Amino acid sequence: MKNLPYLISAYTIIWTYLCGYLISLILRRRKAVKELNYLAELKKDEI
Amino acid sequence: MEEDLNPERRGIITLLGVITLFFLLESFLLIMVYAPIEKTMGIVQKIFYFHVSSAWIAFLAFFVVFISSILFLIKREKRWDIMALSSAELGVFFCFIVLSTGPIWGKPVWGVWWSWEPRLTTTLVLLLIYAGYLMIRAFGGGGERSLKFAAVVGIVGFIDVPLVYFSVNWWSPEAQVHPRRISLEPEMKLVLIFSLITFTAIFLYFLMERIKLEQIREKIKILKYER
Repeated sequence: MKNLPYLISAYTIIWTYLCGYLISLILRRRKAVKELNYLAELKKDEI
Repeated sequence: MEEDLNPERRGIITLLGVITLFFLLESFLLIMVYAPIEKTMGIVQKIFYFHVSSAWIAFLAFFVVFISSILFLIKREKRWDIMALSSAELGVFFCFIVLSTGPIWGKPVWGVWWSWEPRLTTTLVLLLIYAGYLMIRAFGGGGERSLKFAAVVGIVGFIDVPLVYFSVNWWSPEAQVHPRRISLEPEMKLVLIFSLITFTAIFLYFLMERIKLEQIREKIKILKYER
C-alpha cells in the first residue's frame, strides 16, 4: 500500500484530463454555435 | 438559438456519451475492486489498465490520421481533412495521458521518473510529430498548401507507431526498461479488455464531438467568405 499515492496521482491526472478535454469540447462548440448563429442572423438581415 | 445539429444525430452522440460514461465508471470499479493486486509491483500496477488503453487509443487515432490523410490527398475532400485533424488532436491527447501516467508508474517500479530507453523515447517522438502536425494546422494559414503539407506529416509521422510498438523487440534487452512480454492473470486480462473497449468508446465519442465542432467552424468560414 506504500505506493498508493502514485496510483491516486495517476488516476487523478487521467480523470482531470478526460473531464478537461470534454469541457473544452463543449465550450468550443458553444462558442462556434454562437458565432454561427450571429453570422446567420447578419446574413438574414442583409437579405 | 439555431441548433447546430439535427436532433436525431445530437441524440445519438449524447447516447454514446452516456454509455461511455457508464463504461468508464464500470471500468474504474473493475480496476479498483475486481482486478487482483500484482505480486511484485503491488497496487501501483493498476495504472497499467488505463495507461495501456490510452496507448492503444493513441495508436488508433494516429492510424485514423494516416488513412484520412491518404484519402484527403487522393480525393481532395474536406471531410477527410476534418477527420484527420480531429483524430490527430485526440491522438496527441491520449499520447499525453500515456506519457503522464508512465513516469508515475515507472518511479516506484524502476526507481526513475524517466529513462531514455527505446519505447519511451519513440513515444515522446510520436507525441512531438503530431504536436507538430497540430501546429501546422493552427499556424499554417489554412490554405490548400498547408493542408497538403499537414497531410504528408500525418502520413509520414505514422512510421513511428510500429517503431514504438516493436521497439521492445528491435532494440537489445539491455537498453530497455519495458518488458518484452507481459503475462497476465485471467482477471487482469478481462479488466484490460474492458478498459480497451471503454477507451475505444471514449475515442469514438470525442471524435464525433470534435468532427462536429470542425464542421461548424467550416460553416462559419463559408459564411464569413460570403460576406
